[in-house]
Amino acid sequence: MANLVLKNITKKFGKIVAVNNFSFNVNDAEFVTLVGPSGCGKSTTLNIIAGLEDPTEGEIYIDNIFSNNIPPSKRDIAMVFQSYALYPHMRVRENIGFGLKIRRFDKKEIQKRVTETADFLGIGNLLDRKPAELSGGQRQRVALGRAIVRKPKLFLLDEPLSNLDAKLRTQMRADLKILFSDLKGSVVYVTHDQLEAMTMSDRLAVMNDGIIQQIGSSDEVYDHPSNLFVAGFIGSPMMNFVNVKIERGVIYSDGIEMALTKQQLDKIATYGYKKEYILGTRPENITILKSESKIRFEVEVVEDAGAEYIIHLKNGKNRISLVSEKDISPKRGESLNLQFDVNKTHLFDIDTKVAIY
Amino acid sequence: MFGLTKSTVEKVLLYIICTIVIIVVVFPLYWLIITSLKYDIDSYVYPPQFFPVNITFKNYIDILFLAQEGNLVKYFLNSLIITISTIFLSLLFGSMAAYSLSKHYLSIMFRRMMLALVLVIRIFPPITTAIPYYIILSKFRLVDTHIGLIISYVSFSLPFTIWLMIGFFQSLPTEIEKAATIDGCNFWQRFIKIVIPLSLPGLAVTAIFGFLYSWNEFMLASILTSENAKTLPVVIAGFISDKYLFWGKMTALGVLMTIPVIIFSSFAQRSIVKGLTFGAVKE
Amino acid sequence: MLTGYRKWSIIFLLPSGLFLIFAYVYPMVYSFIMSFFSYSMLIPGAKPVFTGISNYLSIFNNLAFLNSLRITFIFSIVAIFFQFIIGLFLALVMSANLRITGVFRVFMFIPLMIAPVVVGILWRNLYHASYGVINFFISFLGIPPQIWLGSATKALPAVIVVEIWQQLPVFAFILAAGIASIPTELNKAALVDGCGRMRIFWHITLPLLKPAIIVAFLLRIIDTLRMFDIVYTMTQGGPGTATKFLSLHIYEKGLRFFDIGTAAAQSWFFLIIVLLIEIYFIRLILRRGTAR
Repeated sequence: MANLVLKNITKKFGKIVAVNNFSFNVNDAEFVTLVGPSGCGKSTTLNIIAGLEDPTEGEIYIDNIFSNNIPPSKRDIAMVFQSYALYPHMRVRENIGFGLKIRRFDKKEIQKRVTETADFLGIGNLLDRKPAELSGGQRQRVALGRAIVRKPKLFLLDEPLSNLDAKLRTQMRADLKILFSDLKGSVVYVTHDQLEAMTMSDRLAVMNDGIIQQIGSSDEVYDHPSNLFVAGFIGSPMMNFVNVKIERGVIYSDGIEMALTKQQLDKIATYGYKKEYILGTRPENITILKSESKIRFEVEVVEDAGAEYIIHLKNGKNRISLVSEKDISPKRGESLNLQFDVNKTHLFDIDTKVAIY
Repeated sequence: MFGLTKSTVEKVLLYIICTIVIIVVVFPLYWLIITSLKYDIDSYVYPPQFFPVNITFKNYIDILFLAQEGNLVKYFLNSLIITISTIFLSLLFGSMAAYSLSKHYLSIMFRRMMLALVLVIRIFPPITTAIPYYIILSKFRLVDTHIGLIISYVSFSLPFTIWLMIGFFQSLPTEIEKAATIDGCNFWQRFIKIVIPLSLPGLAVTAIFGFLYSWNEFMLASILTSENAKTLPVVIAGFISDKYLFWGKMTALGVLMTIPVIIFSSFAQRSIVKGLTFGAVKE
Repeated sequence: MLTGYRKWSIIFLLPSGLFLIFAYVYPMVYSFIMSFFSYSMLIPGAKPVFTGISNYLSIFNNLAFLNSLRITFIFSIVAIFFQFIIGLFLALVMSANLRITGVFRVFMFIPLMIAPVVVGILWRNLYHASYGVINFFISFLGIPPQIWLGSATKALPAVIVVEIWQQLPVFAFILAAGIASIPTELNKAALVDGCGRMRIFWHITLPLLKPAIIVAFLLRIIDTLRMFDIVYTMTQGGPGTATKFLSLHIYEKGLRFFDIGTAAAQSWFFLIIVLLIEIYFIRLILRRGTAR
């Protein structure tokens, strides 16, 4: 397998900067995801890696070879598209083998590889059908087959699961992870679904508006988001954000009074004092107390999610939500005593949105 | 009309109108056919014979086999060669140009200009280019050759082909072409192996109109050919003289000319409508 | 590497470009230059003589040319007018969706299949003064047999009828497709609102058909102004010059009299008129496009 290095990749369309100074690398046999909302530049980056578009600035190295001027057909990569992009006028067999045929592989070799790949993906019995006759899941596997049959150095996947229904998506997530792990492939995966990104990748790169927000493992981006965007994007239900003031080491806001730990105070001191900050707490890190506490909120809505409740509360200007087990059943208007796991809270600069801790 | 339920009176009226129109449309064709099956004398009869009293195939035999009219087989082949070459070349070059103009590898100003140029050419009355073209051809010694006529016919068909195929190419999903690129196709391979096979309906429409045009075209053929490359329309017009009108032979040749067209188009009706209405109607 | 694509894009344009240059640009340039010369190819060894714009000026004095221009325009306007009305009517009939309309559509193709030269010959027979079928039919209406193609007044209308007959399908099919593309909900909504059929047609159908109508007009104008094949076999421009269309006039000027300079000037004059008319219509379409 191969590694991929992107250095300072920038892509402009006229005045619009689609990708802004993007540097990162993918190591051998690593599964890396580019994740972010629609329009954040992840697909453009993927196209640049593939060679389908030229970067305005920056360099690409595939397997340590400078590749900016190498056309896509010679980069030894394979791509799976969101719409699968199967060739409608060819049978599955020919779809899978097309890349090999263009590269003038021996007929017998093509036959062998196509059958192997098809069996491997469980579509061996579909080889003589045309794409129009297949289901969504089957088409996706054909698209995968087309990619893996060439045994390329690098796999690029552009939102391959977006067109599947929810059930199939969950299953395919696991299947894909196993597949690429078996193949020991280097993968760059693009998605807008943070759950996919979290569950499948060795490392993620979170993007927004063309700029990389953070690169790290799932744990890193989940537990230590580097800015407000990452914190809000990763994790579901979304992290709660409230504007707070800090006086003498205590956080104050509507319905909240919470003492900070020493490490947190140190970090704030190093960073510099501000009038206001943003406090972030994940819903799963808020617990309901039976005893009185300094954090009190009034219940607005209780959502029954089957295995748990998602409770939305408010106090003054602040609205938060928490996830709770079903041992209590709070009612609308009820006032609850809450506790935030202070070690798992995050503080953000209200202007720059950067995480202080 | 408008898909609303109609009263019986309306239905009957519509049936009557349809029948009348069909008769008006078909009658001349019918007349063409039966005149070709009559002896010439019977064509001069008044009141006209609506059902031929003496059916004969003499006219057909005369034009096909008798040497006086020249070698009809040769002229038929001329028409065929020229028509098929025109269709092939205009389809190939037209779709190549359309492919180039439908992608964004060239600047948009350039592409718009090219397209405008191509459409303006469609507007030229043929006579304006025919005379100088004839003079030019005679300088190149290409008068009365198949090539001379083919170049002219292909050039006439190109604007329509390009216009139609651009529409087709733009409706192809771009991801399929991206997949082909990644699979290793270069520009030409992408065009031939992926884009063309997926654009066959569009090519069919262009082929049919190309056929209708080349097969039936008269003015340029009469100017640019004399003996070697003479096409069927020119042969028919050659029968006209002030002295004697060979109704039988003329209509027989007319029928022979029309048969291939009717056969060809019966397979292609929907394509013809598509071609006629393309651009006029948003689907 | 995109430059590779740019290179190929240009290569793909070349064959078409070369054809069009050879068959259109080169001739038109040659013709333009020749229009400023007096050149008669009849005289062996004759050389072109520069005469400036006199060829163009002489057009305005050239009664024959002006007559042909008049004939061509009258023909175009009248023919298109009737084609439009009848075509619209037929389009409505074709939209009726009865069992017979399917058959109807098939038959409607027939006039387009027959070569114009053949159509000319065919109708020459039908219009014949002594034994033509047309005279036979009108005798049922009590009208005595007429001389059609030999009459200076009746020849042009006769040609117009033939043109209408052959080109009916074009208007009919374009308008039928236009009607089909109108969402039926609009008609239903109008019915619910209490509109009668005529009002639906006038206020909904026609306005929405405008784009299709304009395109059809565009095409038909070019084609009617070109009229050549049918007259060549049917009347040869006669009687006298009653049906000497512009194409025929220029054809004779250049290829019978070999008066190249004049033919070139007349060709360009003709071309510019046609271009101006078409550009007017194209602007109509564009304006419509932006108005949406």
